[in-house]
Amino acid sequence: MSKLSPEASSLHEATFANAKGSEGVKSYAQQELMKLSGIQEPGELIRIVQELVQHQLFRTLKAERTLYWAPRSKEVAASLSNLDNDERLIYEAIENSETTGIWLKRLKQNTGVAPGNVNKIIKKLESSQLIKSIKSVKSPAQRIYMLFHLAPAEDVTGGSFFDSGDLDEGLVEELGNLIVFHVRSQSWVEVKPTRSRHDRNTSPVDVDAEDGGKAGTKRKRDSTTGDDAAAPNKRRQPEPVITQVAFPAGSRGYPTADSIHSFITNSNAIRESKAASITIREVQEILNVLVWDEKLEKVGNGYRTVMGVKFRPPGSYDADGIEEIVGNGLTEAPCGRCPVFDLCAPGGPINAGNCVYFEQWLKA
Amino acid sequence: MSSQLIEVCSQVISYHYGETSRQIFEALARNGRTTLETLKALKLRKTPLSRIKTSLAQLIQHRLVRHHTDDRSDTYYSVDWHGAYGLLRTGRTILLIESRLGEKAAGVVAMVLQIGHCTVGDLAGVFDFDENGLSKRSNGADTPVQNGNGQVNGDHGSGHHDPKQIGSLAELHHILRKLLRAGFLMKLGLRSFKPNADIEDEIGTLVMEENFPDGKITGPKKQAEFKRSVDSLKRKWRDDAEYSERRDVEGGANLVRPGMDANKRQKLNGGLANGHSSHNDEADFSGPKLPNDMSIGVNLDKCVVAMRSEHLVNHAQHYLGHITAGVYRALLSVLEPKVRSVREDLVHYDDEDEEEEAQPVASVMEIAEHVDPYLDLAAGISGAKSHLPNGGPKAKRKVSIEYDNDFGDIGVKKEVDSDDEGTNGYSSMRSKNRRLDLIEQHLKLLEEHDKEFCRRPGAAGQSEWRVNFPVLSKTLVDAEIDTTIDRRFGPAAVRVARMLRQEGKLEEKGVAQKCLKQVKDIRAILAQMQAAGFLESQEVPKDQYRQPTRSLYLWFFDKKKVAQLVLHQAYQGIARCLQRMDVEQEKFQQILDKRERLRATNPDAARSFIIGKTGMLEEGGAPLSGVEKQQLALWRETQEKLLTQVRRLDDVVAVMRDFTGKDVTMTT
Ligand code: SF4
Repeated sequence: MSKLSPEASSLHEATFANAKGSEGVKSYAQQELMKLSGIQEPGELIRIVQELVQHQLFRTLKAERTLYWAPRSKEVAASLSNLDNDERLIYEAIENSETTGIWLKRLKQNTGVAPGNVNKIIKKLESSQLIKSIKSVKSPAQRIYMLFHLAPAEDVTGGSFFDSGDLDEGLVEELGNLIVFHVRSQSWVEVKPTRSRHDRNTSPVDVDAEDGGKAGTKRKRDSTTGDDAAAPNKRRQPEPVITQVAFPAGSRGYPTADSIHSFITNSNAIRESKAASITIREVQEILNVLVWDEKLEKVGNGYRTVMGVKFRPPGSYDADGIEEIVGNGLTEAPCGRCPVFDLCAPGGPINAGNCVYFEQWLKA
Repeated sequence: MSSQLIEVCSQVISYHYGETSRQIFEALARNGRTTLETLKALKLRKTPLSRIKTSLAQLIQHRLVRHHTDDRSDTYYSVDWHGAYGLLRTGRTILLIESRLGEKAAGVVAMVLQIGHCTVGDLAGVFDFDENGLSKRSNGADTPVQNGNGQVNGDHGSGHHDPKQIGSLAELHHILRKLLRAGFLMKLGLRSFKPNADIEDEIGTLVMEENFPDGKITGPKKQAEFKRSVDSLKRKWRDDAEYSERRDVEGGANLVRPGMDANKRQKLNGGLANGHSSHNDEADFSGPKLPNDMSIGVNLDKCVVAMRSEHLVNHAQHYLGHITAGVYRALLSVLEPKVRSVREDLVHYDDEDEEEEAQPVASVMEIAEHVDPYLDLAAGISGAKSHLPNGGPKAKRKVSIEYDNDFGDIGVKKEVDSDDEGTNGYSSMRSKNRRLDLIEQHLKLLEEHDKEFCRRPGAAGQSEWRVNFPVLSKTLVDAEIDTTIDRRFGPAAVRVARMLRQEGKLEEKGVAQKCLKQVKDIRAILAQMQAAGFLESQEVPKDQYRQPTRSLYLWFFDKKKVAQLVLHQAYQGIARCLQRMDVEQEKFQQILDKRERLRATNPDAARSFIIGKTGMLEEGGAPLSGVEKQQLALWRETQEKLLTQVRRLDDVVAVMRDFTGKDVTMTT
């Protein structure tokens, strides 16, 4: 092959330098090439471009009847000129799939290269570091190939929460905990746990001779006016301990997705490279999950932790993570968890009388 | 009708009214409306007619069966589902009323429940007052008193005046009026015993005759008109049937009007801080009397309203703490008398906004009257100053306010009740306003919360509050479902359920992505929930051949279906608990029989009441040997455990079926 002309070489360098730094594949239409090269004569430009294409330094793309050209690196071009036709077909098909990658099966279908050959070619291209195999979150079972020097697109990797195609649940968990920790500190005024401020039993009012220990307040309303309204529970259980006090309604200091995002990227609880890659959208995804988990609740534009929600000190490991769940009448009754629930009927072989689950439950 | 519900109802009926009644009820429940002849031919061939008649009469007396006689004078009987299921709630009903209107009122209701329905005269007869209207009895067996753990001790026999006992006829009337006004008791008319379907027919015919003499209601316009007329006549009948102080009380015209009442109450409330009622009870019973021939019965719908309030308060407490929940309780207490029933089937709303508009409102003043004066409102909101006067530390010596060291640093003081009402009371205007202000702040917290516990309907500045019951009832349903899912399938499943409720239909991968879970984990959860009926999936073929392998599966959460599922499982749970109780009881039969005999021979022994199997009051305790007492205690424990479970299951039923008022499975 003839040597590259200086004009062609300078155009390649200009485009290659220009494309550097931009993500993915950058391509140029005629107008842009004219600007970059300073060549105003279309015939002249076409000649140069053709020369570059021949040298594998440009590849041609077509979109909506317009042609575009994308530069390749000199090294790649050099290896390409050593490929045979089939190999080049395969390479170009992979190259055209850009940062999404292409599925092996599709590759076989689209190129028309004999299937037996494809595997061999793939192996060769892989070993010469022209292509690589990647894993897509969307279809983890498929073998997908992409140019070696490209980074897979976010919808292929799944974003920051994915580690080579697998959801990094540990990371999600850690981030969730970190967010709860952060949000909680700004949601409630924490108060030193302490007993209710007075003990009713010692209150003189409760000893109401007329009424046998009923809270006097209610008595008053009842008998004076015949009022029919509810009064607070009269025989009180000890009052719940107050540990969290709400900010007045209308407070707007609650963290938002934005502020939480900047907290995460600036905190050093998460690996720096990871933290940097996390987007606001991804933070929002975790926030949604935390709301569904009833760890956070929305207030205005921000979030606050649901009262009483706990968090692990960030960085520590879950030691006593078992949160106590209170069920309802259904789930706490033996029948609510019964494996033969649908078979159980009075008079049938399985019935409430001979039921072993009840036996255990009553003994418990 | 679900067979589980029939099981529950017949179980309860058999317990209270015996086997024949149960058979009749079950036959009616399974066959719908039936005449006496068919009834006998159907299920009860061997039972003598007289027995059937007695049992039927008893069922009608207790409003478990309704009847209707048509033009050909055939009488049809059909079951009253609400009445029958309501038997399960009698104990709870009594407790709810006790907490609202006091022990004496609860005692009266307990009695009405035992009799079924009755006239005012009958009820007075039970009390056996002398000519002066004072009680002749020295014991209070009729007015059971509850203590904390659901046991009722009616210890009596003492000669002195028992405060728990209704002392005079005037007092009884006073209490009855109070109960009627609050809606816990209701006036019963002839129509109260008819099946709703027949009443509806009757109304339809009447409207037809009057407004559409040509007998045609074709076309949408005429149909709408017909519907309107039917609804307005229904409303009229209902309003006519309702208790009204003006109409139903002898000499009702010169009654104190409610407005005046409120003023008086407010003054008293403002003046007395610790609610010591200084006047005595007898002073107030001089009100008018109810006619002796008025029929009364317990209004179960109103009890549902009260139950709903309790659930909402608990829900609010979970999210905002007990102080804010205390204010919420007060708001609900104000609204409760203004809510007739959870069911507003006679009004049709075009949309949810309109429905909300129709909900009653409460002013912050009214709410303030109902807020527990002991509630430390300031402790619930950061930065709020206490409404109690003399908040500064220097006041320590002047007023009996003590500082708890633990509270010192958050500026909350420990209040000690003072005998001197003047010092401790909200005597100054400023502290009164301060209190209103704090109450309002709590209301705003409730309003601000994602669940919108309450709202301000009016223009800004006007402090009126409303609770959107229809929406919140749905919130409670969701919460109950989520609890069930949580316990059965774990927290990840709750995440999936909530997510799908919000996002609609999604493919497996979409579910995993939104929930930030591995696809394989999600797949397991989805399959598990689907098998249990908690999730649905829909097949969407990708090509015209509809190959299953090439189809897409969209997952979604069918709220209505799941709610029904949970409801029916709760019914079945209740039925099983009750059935198990029968079996357990047999084990203790000997000792129970002995107690029975002892009781019969020794009527003077101290008696006590417990809330029995189905929540009705039962008597317990009699002289027995140590071992026997242990046995009895063991039985009690078993019973207690099963009953608690039944009560909790009933909570699930109430949430799933009753609170929204939209349930149609129990119409008679
Ligand atoms: S009674 Fe026993 S067998 Fe029947 S549903 Fe309940 S737990 Fe299951």
